[in-house]
Amino acid sequence: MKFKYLKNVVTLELNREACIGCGLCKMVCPHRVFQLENRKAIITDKEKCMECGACASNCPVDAIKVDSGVGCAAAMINKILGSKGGCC
Amino acid sequence: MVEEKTSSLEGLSEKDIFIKEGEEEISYHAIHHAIKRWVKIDDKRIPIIDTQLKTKDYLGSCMVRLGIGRYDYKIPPGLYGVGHVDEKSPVIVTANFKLTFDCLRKELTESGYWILVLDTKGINVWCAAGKGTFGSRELIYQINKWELKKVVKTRNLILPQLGATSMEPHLVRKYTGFKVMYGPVRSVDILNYIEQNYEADEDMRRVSFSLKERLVLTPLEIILNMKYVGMFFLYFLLLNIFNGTAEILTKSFYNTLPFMMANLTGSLVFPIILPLVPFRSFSLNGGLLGVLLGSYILYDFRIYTYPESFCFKLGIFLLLVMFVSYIAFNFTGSTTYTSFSGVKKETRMFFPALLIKVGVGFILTLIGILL
Repeated sequence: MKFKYLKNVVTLELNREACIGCGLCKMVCPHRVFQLENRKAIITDKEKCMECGACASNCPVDAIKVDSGVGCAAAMINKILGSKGGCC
Repeated sequence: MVEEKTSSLEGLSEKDIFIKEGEEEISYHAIHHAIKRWVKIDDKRIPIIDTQLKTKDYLGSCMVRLGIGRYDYKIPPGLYGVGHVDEKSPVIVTANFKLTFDCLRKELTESGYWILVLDTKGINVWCAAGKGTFGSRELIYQINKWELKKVVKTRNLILPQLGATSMEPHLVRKYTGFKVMYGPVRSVDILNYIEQNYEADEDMRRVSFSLKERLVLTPLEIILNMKYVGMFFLYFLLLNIFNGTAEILTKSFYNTLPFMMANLTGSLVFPIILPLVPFRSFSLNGGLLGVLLGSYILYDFRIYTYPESFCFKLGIFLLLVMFVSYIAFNFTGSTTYTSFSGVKKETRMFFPALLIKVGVGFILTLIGILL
């Protein structure tokens, strides 16, 4: 996909030491950010990550950290204004 | 030794996981027209659903897209069948949003599939997964509630790939014995995926954001942003009443026209030209479109029956730019690629500027009227 959003904001982190190479992160990523190399996952293009959190939630050994959440602008504005209202 | 991951289910007793308080009897009213027959397994009656969509479904889809009674189109959560189901039929898991359910069932054939619909409060799979309603807990609950182990011999579940966000497959397996398998992103590929022995190609696993996918979002965007157009109309109405001008309603209508154009620019033009816009920031792109629109409005200022005042012109220009900018910024929530941290950063930068500039815009129009 040719679309790219703001640079240098993505919080995705992979702990290769902990990775057991199950490949679930590679499977679930909607932007194909992961590959398997030497039986462990690697991040190939961090900029493409949209922080949906699927890789981190599916990782059986907690090797992935990513700051994910409801990304609607309306929810963020509500947060700034201090109200709890949701979006969507 | 692999350490087990902490989970969202930790600290909950079995009772918490398997039983929900205050659940009502299922009413199949919303899907009644699509039920072909019923099968009975033990004490459970399971509806068998048509794979052909009817006019009623297409009408319903249009209404949902237009935002009319969006939440009246929830599918009752639970187990459904399609075609000649038996204990060997594959089980597909989905959300209880009408569009999602229809998208899935129309792809299936008479060869027999089970569909397990999770209660996502009428929200699509990806958004619900982001919020956690399409998650391990609800999946475990529905599997146990419908005693899926008695219905099928297979111990595999096919989930939409975008449902992975809040899913913890190791926990689902631990609590139910079922293995989570991720199917393709789009239901259009589901039969291919099953035929290819539960393997999805790269293309089936990648999300897109095609012109068509962007266009279907635009009617709802336009409608949701009409409330701001309405507010501008009220504002101009008040100004015109205050000014004591003749033909207040007609004038206010013309005054508001540029803001309707701004809505269309932000809600329709922006999503269409999204691959071509120059900046990464959505609000900047919207701002640029707003400047183009605003310049055109200034050029043709008389048509819109505004007072001929420099301050008023400047105020209208500013309000138009910020309105388009805001609509474009809001579209980050509808795309398939904007990151959480990115939107957070843009919100922090854009929102204070928005408030200030809108404030200045209104003050300038007031000054333009008073002086």
